[in-house]
Amino acid sequence: MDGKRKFNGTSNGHAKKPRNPDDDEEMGFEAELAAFENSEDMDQTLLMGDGPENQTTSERWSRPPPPELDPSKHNLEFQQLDVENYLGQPLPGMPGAQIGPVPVVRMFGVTMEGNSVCCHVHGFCPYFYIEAPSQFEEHHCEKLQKALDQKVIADIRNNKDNVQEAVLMVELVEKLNIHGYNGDKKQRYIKISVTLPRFVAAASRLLKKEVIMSEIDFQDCRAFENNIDFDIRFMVDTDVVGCNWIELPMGHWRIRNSHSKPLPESRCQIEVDVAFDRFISHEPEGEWSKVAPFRILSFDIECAGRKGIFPEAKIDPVIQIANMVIRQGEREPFIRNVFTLNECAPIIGSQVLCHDKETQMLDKWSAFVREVDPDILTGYNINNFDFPYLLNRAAHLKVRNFEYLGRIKNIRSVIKEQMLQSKQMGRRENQYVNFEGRVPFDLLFVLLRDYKLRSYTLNAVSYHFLQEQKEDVHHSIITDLQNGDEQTRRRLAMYCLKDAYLPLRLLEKLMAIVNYMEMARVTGVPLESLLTRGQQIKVLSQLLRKAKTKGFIMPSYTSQGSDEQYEGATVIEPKRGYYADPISTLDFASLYPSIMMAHNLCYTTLVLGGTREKLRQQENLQDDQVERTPANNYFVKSEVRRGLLPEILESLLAARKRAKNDLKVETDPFKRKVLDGRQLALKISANSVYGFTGAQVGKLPCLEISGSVTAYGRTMIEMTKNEVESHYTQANGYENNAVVIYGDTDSVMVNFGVKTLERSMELGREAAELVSSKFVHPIKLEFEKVYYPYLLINKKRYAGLYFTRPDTYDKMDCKGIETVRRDNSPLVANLMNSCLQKLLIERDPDGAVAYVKQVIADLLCNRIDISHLVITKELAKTDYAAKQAHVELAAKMKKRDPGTAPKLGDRVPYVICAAAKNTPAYQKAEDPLYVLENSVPIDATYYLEQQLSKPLLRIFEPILGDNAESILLKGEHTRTRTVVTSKVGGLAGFMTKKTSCLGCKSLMPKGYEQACLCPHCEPRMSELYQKEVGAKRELEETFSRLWTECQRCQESLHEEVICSNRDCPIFYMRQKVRMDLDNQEKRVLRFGLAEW
Amino acid sequence: MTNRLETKYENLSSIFRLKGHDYQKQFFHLYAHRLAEMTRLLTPLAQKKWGNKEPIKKLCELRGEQDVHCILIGTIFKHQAHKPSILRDISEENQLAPQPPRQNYSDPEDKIVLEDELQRVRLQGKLNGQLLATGVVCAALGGTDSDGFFNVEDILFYESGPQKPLAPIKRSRLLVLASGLDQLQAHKFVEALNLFQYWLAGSLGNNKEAGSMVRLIVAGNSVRASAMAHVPTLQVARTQANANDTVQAVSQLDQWFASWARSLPVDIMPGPYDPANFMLPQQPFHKCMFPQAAQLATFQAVTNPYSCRLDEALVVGTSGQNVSDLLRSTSLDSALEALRCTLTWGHVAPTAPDTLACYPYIESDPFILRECPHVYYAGNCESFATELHEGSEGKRTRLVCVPSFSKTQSVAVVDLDTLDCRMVNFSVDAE
Repeated sequence: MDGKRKFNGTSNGHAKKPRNPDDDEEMGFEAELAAFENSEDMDQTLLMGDGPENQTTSERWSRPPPPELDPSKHNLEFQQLDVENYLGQPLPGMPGAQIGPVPVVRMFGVTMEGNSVCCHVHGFCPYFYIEAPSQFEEHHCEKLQKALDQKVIADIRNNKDNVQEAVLMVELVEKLNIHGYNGDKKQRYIKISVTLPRFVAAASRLLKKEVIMSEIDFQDCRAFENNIDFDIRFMVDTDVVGCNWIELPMGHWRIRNSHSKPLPESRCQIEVDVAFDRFISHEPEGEWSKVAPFRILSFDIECAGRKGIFPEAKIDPVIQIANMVIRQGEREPFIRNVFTLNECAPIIGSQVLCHDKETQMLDKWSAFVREVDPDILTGYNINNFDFPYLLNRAAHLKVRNFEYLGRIKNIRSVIKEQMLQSKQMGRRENQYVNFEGRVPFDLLFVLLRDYKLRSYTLNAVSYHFLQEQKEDVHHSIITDLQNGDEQTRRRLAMYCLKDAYLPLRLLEKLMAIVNYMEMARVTGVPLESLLTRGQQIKVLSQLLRKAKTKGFIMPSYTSQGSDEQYEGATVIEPKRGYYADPISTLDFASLYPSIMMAHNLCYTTLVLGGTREKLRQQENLQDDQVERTPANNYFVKSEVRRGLLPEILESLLAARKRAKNDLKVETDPFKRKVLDGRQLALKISANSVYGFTGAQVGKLPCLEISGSVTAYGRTMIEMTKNEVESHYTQANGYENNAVVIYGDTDSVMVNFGVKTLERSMELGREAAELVSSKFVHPIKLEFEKVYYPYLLINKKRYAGLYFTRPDTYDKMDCKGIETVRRDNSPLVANLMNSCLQKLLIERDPDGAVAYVKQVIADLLCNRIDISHLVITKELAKTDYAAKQAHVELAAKMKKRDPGTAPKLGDRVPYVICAAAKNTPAYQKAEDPLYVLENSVPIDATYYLEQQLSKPLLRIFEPILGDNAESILLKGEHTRTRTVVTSKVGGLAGFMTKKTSCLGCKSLMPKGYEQACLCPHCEPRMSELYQKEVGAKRELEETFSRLWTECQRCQESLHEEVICSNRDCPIFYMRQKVRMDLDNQEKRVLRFGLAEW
Repeated sequence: MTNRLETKYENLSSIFRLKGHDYQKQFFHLYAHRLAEMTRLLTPLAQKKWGNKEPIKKLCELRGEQDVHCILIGTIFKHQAHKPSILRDISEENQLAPQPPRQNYSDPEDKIVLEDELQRVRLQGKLNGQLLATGVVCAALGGTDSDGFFNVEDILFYESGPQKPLAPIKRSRLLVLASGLDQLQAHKFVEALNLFQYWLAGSLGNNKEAGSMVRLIVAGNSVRASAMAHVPTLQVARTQANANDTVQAVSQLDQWFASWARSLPVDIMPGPYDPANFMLPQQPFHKCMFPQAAQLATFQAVTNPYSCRLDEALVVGTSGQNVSDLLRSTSLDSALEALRCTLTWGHVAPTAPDTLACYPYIESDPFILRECPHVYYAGNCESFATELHEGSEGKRTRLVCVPSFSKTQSVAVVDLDTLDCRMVNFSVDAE
């Protein structure tokens, strides 16, 4: 029932505030508070309800029964996967405020036996600090507490929670400010504990803007740690990290059951209460690095659609929902089922659940989710499509109880919009749904965050990572299959099941779950934060933990958008060219972390401008105890104070070394994955510390640190160059004078002028040791690889054959070269790859040039297969500022056939066709199938000038110099062109077909119209027949390989291939080879049948 | 001129002649027809072998139930990780380090699936998946389990159709089987070819058998026995500038064939690398390629596979593609074993179309062995091998691995009355 109230007039709790990624951008306190309070109001009406009880319908679906637990005799251990907080009532005997409402932390997790756990943690109170005015004394604490309490309560917009106490405690404490070195003497601060998390912002605002106590002025006092999420605050203070094991010792916890007070609120099998200072949080190392068998549900929905219209939840029904449930650590799902609308034939190995009505199916699926009780929800784009569609559809159909998908019985799952911005993903609008206790882990989010791909369709992704194609069925066919019979619906269900299975396989392949879990453990943030928050929360969490151990507190920073710009990491100017000799690469190991550790760069060691003189007098700080950085900033040396950031980095890198050593001796495959995920998480975390200081719109930006790091880096690169070039000279007895041909952020490329890999590696190792000895520990220059040969195109653009051992190369290493640009046609990527292969593997620059010429000649003579020319773009909107080729084409196709035309969200493949001079490109875009069927000529010049020209010149200018353009793009090979005859268009109607000789292509003379050869060529009949039949046999082989591949991909030998996956690299190939084969067959038949 | 025995001849290969060509079709038609016809043929055999107690079921009738014991009839599909894949070939990642093609991609990890018209099920139990091939239709006796597997207890194949008995004729009629003349390389063994020609003509001094030789079948790779050099390009099919060598080889062959056809009837089959179409069934060579030989009534080009009747003896064979593809995709030990398997499976080319290119038939599967042959051969084998296979109900089939002449300078000779078979070697060193 909506708006249900308990007898005592207070709510039973409400969903946590959605984790707003905008927290990474500082918001004004007033705006933040207003948004918070509005969110509260909405949450109350939309989120709370009267949820259904769990059902147990299938032993296979349900978790194993929980054991009988006695808190006085048993410990309870579980791996927590989600941490949130809610407003609840104080529990007698628990610490903290005794008058409600109070914040209660909820931890959700799984035991090693596979039982789900909901643990309520009581007594932890939110707090913040302000500087203590000089006249503030201990006896003022009580006064301030009372006065501020009144102000905050009076400030509450509507006190529907009947808050009676806002400020719980005011204490005078001694702490150190993390920002800037001010000696080791602690300063006085006022710690203000409040009863609710939202009162932190309110109290801070009121202290700044109003007179709280007449005798003391707080308005100029700096606030500290008043913008830390409550969940993070709790985790830092109780040493809880993401996904770690929690132990409740016997005698210190309470169990909830049907007889307890309070009663259970969750659907978890085990629900317990504990005080925040009574549980044990285990560091996830050794025994406690183990992983509980938590459940991952992957699902996919299919919707019936109308012709030419993307499905809308208010109109188009959900017709199938396929589900796969796997336990972490196992290889195969233990639940495979599909919910279908109407009868569906059985599927071996999967359970088919048929329903006459859509409302019934949705209701059953919701109950299924509650019964399976998954810890993690995954799928492909479930955040932006599947979940919102299901919720909207169920709301439209008034399916009772559908929206209770989380683990808290009476909380609904509700859709919210949010804007997410980060460096990796750009700015992106997403939808978010709350599932208390369950972590949504959308695979598409993982890929967008972590990988740079040319396409993010599930087809392209499965091909990229698994080398497998995915069958794709067009929207219109889906509706036909649904409207057929139980067998056609079975066909659709097979397709739906694959789409539910594929995310699990990809998560397994990418080790995404393990890697994210270890990242949560290393950085101390909840698992869900890694997908919904930016990078900063991770460093902030670590910094808060380290600061706590040393007595530091962190000021709240309001971004000013400083105009000051620090100099970025520049490079040694590249000496562009193709180097046929080995090039040794010297790399600094973990350069930025090393610099911060070596030079003790930290907030706590920074000597702020204007304080040096004071420190000299008051703290007796000597000049030799301060180090000046190349950016003209000052930091105290480590003997004065070891910085927090260096200590964090040291512990991260030491932990990584331990993890790698453990990995060497571990034999269990799954544990090896966990260790590998951990060492990777530690490495990434160490490298992100620098970024935290450099983010200008951040929690604690400090350009003095980030600027100094990059300045040191620049200086070190220069020093390395000078040292190498001055030491390795013929005058010093070496083969040649060494030349540094390029330097980037953390590496230097050296041409020692030697011919063999062995010698270049020997010199590389020697040079690395030589230069390392000039730097402060732990800065270390390492020799790791030799490029042989090496194509140096420009800054951050190079390609080389990568050797770490003399006998064979490890890989081809390319940077900044257009092989993955998603808006290029495959022609570019394929040609670039082939050229690099010829240049680097075959060491044949002349061969590469000849190859390029051949491909260009093929392009101009219409010999390039159309599948290499297809450009694909997503139809994201229809109001682009400038006319877009794919938008114009989609409109054109809609006129031809609305049923199959692309619609919003679809990707539109097109090729650029020949047209009148000066026709803009957006009008030359055409559907590749239409081009194939009607022999529309391709605009080869467009591909040569707009697609190939720049990438080719970029690669070949270092080789050919200024002549590259004339050699490649204007030579003899570009003078011959072939134009195909279109079957459609203005002039096509006027053409009359005449036969020509298969030998010399001349028109057939009179009397020979039915023959295949002219009189001149007839004596060569055998030769010419062999030529034609030879071409046919090649096409036959290609036809067979392509179509059997498709038959195999759809996993059915006896059914027709209906795939319409245009992202598949062979989709257009298979269409084209059919037409080519038909044409070639006609040519062969002109020789007459082989009758004997 | 040696006096030759007269033999009644009937060409039965019209089933392999393509009347029209339609490449708008797919391969599922062929599988569906193969399964339908094989099901019709296997059903009485299964009932005869396993009785009527066990029902013959469709896969869709296994409604997720456990412990159902029954007979299933379906097509075998093997999911093999190393099977050649055009997708993998053109994958961007693979381009940087091209993998050499595998000679054999059979692996214990291969997954064996049985599929009927609508569904498929994983097989396990008493069957050796490495000895089976995709495309084979069989009947399986067993039961289902809770994990969706079908546990096989026994398995049954069609074993080819009935066989007409040979008449007890007391005379010696010899069929000569040759392959792999590889005229492109003929300069290496031209002396052996000359000896072969003399032998056919009965001009070798001690050859009394010439009069008994009633037919010569040349089973493929006459022009060339290896692929043209393949230049990878971005084109799907790039027309190679025609090699003059091949044209010369064809012209040379014409002279050989014309000469041989003056001694006895000669049938020429296309082979894997000959200038003919690629898909099975390969269509006969065009007349214009052999203008001299074409003028002789005793010379003809035929299809691959090839089926004919000599008096009562049914002779069926291929140029070897079916055997070599089986050897690539299974762990069968020898060409002879592979040849025997196709006979006992009742299908000339079971891996077509999956890994053996074949025309997308829509109305029938011409490769089903509806009648059990007396002589069954595969050309272009590494070496000569033969066996008299005795099937059920008294069926006897002479299996012949016809050696490549360019490799062995040998041919096979089959006695159509006794079904005896031997190799005749023409190496000059053997003199």
